[in-house]
Amino acid sequence: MLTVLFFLSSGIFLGWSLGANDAANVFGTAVASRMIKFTTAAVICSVFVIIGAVVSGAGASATLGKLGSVNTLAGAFTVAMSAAFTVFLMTRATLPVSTSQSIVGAIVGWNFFAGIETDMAVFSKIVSTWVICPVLAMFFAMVMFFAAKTYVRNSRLHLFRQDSRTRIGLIVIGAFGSYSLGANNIANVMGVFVPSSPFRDLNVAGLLTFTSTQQLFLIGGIAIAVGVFTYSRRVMETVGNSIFTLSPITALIVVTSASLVLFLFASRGLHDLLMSYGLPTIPLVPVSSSQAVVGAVIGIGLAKGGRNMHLATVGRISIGWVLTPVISAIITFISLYFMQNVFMNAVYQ
Amino acid sequence: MITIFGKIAKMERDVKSYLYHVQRSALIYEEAIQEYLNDDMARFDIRLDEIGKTETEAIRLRRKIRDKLYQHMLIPEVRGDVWELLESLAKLIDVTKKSLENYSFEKPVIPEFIKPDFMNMSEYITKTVDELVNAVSAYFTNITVVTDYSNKVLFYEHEVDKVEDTIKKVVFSTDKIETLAERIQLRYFAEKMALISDVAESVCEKLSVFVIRREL
Repeated sequence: MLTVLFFLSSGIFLGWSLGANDAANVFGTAVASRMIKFTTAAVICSVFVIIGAVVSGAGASATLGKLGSVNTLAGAFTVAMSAAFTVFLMTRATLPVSTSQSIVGAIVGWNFFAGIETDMAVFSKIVSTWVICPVLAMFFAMVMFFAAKTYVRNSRLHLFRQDSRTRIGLIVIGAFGSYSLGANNIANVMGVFVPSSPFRDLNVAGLLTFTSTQQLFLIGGIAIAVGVFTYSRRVMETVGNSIFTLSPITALIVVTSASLVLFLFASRGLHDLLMSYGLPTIPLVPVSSSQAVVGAVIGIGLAKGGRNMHLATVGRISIGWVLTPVISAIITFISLYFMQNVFMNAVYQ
Repeated sequence: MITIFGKIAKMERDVKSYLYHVQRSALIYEEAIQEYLNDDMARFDIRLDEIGKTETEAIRLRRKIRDKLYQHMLIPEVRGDVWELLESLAKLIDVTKKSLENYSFEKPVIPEFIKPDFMNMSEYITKTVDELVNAVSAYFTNITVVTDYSNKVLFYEHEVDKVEDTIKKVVFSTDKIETLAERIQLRYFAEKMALISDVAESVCEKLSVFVIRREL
């Protein structure tokens, strides 16, 4: 059991860092602008992240499994640890980083090391979402911005009433965003452990089955929740105060857009519905909440006429997006070499 | 949820009531000036008492709004602006009351031939404050029309200035006023009256900035 926990620790660490960083994408502005108390945000975020991870985490995780099925616990440990280390390095270098890109880069690194050919169809599907995700969030944000502007102008809502509705909106959308974050990003945290899961399916009173994957996702969800409670407050304050200079309403639009994108890329129900009507489906892929938020903020900037937009910052963010998977793949390759040849653990079968 | 909406409705009522007191102070002012010019000092004193009570009630409401704003962390983005706006309006009531108090203490003798100008001035002052209250009210409910009301405030403030200038010219050019002290006193009263619309104008300028900050 101790060995299992040790090998899962890298995933748990990744989960913790995801909770510490990405919860800010959902509740950052609301907390920093004092629209919502941190404790309220942390409780809502934690509960819904866990629900999202356990209930809807399987879709995006399955796609990640197709990219590379890391089939030993030691291999999965190394892949997750390398991804986490890349996130740490990039954060230290103050470059924006995506856990999704980091884990994808790490899996490709494992494929290289194990001599397994990377499924290019799946790989290109995932890479395409790195472009589609921020673009889609940008589009949603622009549409919602114009709709909100028209509504605010015509509704003649009293300032206090508008404030209370925005507050309620931030809580409801924050819960939805947390659910989507859990559903989509749990694949980053625990996805690589699925093929080598040490758990067995549990039957709860003969009514429902708690699968080994769901058990893994529950642990990952709890790790994210711990990250939210222990470290996200500072990140939320930073994100809310320095990156965004948004009003509560535009913040609500940003969170809604990003949450919708995360949901679209995680919802198996929507995927099946589109398929049943013969419509093109949205791939179930773990996408970056940070990318979605950046896309949505750019959308707001463009909708406002493109004034005060820091193009240099956008360029810097783009560099981070390109560098992350590459660095992660290299670190994973080197780490796997050490795990196999120095620590004498099989990293693939 | 019901409690939140209950609190919000109460806040809306308090702000509305506060604005009503600002408007009322200007209406009392106009009536008081008219009564002073008609030498009806008994009724003038009643008006003075009324404006004092209006100010006290406005102060009470303003403190209540401030406490709720900060205790319930309402409108965090524009809380400072709203508070500044309410404080500026309090200054407006204060200047209005002081102008009437000066009439009560100094009892200036206003010659018949400039009484219509003084009356005219008080009417324009009331209109200035009236439109300012409309502008502030629109800031809370419909920011698209704030500029329309602000333009009216500026228009009436300009009219007050014109009447003020007329009074000064007449006071210092006529030979019907005997002493320099009387001339200076009348100029002083005209300036103090015009100060009310000047304060209204400065609130209006602030409001224009606050409207930009409220845009999405």
